[in-house]
Amino acid sequence: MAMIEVKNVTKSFQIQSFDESTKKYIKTKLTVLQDFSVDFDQQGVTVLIGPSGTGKSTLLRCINGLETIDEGDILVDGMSVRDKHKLKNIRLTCGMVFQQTVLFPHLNVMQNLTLGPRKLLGMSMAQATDKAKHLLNKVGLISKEKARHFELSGGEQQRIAIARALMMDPKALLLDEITSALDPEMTSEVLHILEDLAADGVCMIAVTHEMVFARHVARRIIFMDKGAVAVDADKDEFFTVHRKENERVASFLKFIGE
Amino acid sequence: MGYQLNFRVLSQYSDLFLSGIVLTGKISLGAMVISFILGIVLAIMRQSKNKIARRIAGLWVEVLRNTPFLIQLFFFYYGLPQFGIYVDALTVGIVALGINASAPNCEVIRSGLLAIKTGYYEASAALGFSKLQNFLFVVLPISLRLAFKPLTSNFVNLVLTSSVCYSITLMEIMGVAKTVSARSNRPFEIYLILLISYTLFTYAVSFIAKAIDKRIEIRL
Ligand SMILES: Nc1ncnc2c1ncn2[C@@H]1O[C@H](COP(=O)(O)OP(=O)(O)OP(=O)(O)O)[C@@H](O)[C@H]1O
Ligand SMILES: [Mg+2]
Repeated sequence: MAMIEVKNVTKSFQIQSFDESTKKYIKTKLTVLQDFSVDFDQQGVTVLIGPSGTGKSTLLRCINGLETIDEGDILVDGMSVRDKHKLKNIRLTCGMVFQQTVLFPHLNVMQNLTLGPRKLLGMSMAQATDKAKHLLNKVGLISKEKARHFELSGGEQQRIAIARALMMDPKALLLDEITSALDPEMTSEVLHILEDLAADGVCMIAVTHEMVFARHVARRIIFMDKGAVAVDADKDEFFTVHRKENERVASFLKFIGE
Repeated sequence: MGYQLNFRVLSQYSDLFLSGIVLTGKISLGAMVISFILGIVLAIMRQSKNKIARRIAGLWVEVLRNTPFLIQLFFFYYGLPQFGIYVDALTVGIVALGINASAPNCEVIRSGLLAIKTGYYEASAALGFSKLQNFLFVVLPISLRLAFKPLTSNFVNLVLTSSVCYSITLMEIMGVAKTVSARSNRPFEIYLILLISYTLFTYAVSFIAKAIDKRIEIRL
């Protein structure tokens, strides 16, 4: 059994659109994932790529239970996202970091890290603080322990968000374009952290357009297109065979400047 | 010829003044606690998905904001005994003032709640927090910090409004002033003392509030 099993998932959104002929707003259904299946093992780094709007974020959000699915099922460690009572454990199993990080503004860095473990894992303040210090060292921000979110750069905030997710000891980290709002310097800071974590064996499923990172660190690459898995391959195979033989892959890689 | 200020004749009433100040403090503090808690509950009700809860809270705030406190106070003090409910004047004063101030408190706490972005919910949900935990550990502390400054000006208002409680026999500082002024015939001095006392009172509230505000200052 894979750690994450996405089985025949269909996910659509109700969207409002303006009908020119009747001059009225109408509700339409936008199907993002259609009969979508994929498995993730707790191994290394999987990079998800694909054109904008193909449903990469939606997939991660469905896995983490932030979106509800219409049909099919997603099992995380055997727990179904359809089961409301399992949601907490699913989220503890899969930590998530977003493109736009939100640190809790009423708390400083240390408190941001310790809130979750204290309230959800029953950790004592001392235990949580120790663990936070260890992780802050890991992301190179031990000096910012007392800082508030507005005293941190975007890259630093992302590193804190990674540490905050790791505080819960997840089996996997879901990362949704966590560097795409950052300038190149901050991007490489964050990617370095991810490389270190990968070297430590942390399992990650990352949506990213950073192909250098994918080449260095990924084990597996999934190319999504129009709400489906177009290519699912070993990294080396992807960058050699598929890039040559698959036209869509070739043009996408060209498009993002690879 | 000129008016001779004379505070000396009032010195025999100093204990009375002191007890009046203490009672004003008691009424104000009690009403602050009640109005704060009610304000939170009402703000949650006004934001809730439940239509009935929203309506009740809306009506509550409307009525309180559009009627004089004196009438609200008399309503509880003279009205409730008609139903066989007898409560002492101090309790009525504290509760009525607390209810009165719950309306403006609701409004400022609600505007704090409105400032919360969905991003906070997602961040805490992704960590594994339930909706309730998200509310308790994230949404509420953020909104209350945002609402802190307007809350303190509501509290200052509350202290000032507490003077109306003399009208239900409460010997808070205004009640004391009325009594002493009848006995001593030095109204100018007495009300001068009152003006100064209230100024000091509200000054103390704002001073404490500023000190707290510095510590809990928040930027979104
Ligand atoms: N909450 C929502 N309501 C309506 N439509 C949505 C919602 N979330 C996503 N969508 C739509 O679903 C489609 C897939 O979105 P998604 O964010 O998953 O794409 P993506 O692959 O992550 O794209 P990008 O690379 O731009 O981040 C898009 O067309 C988007 O507009
Ligand atoms: Mg996306």
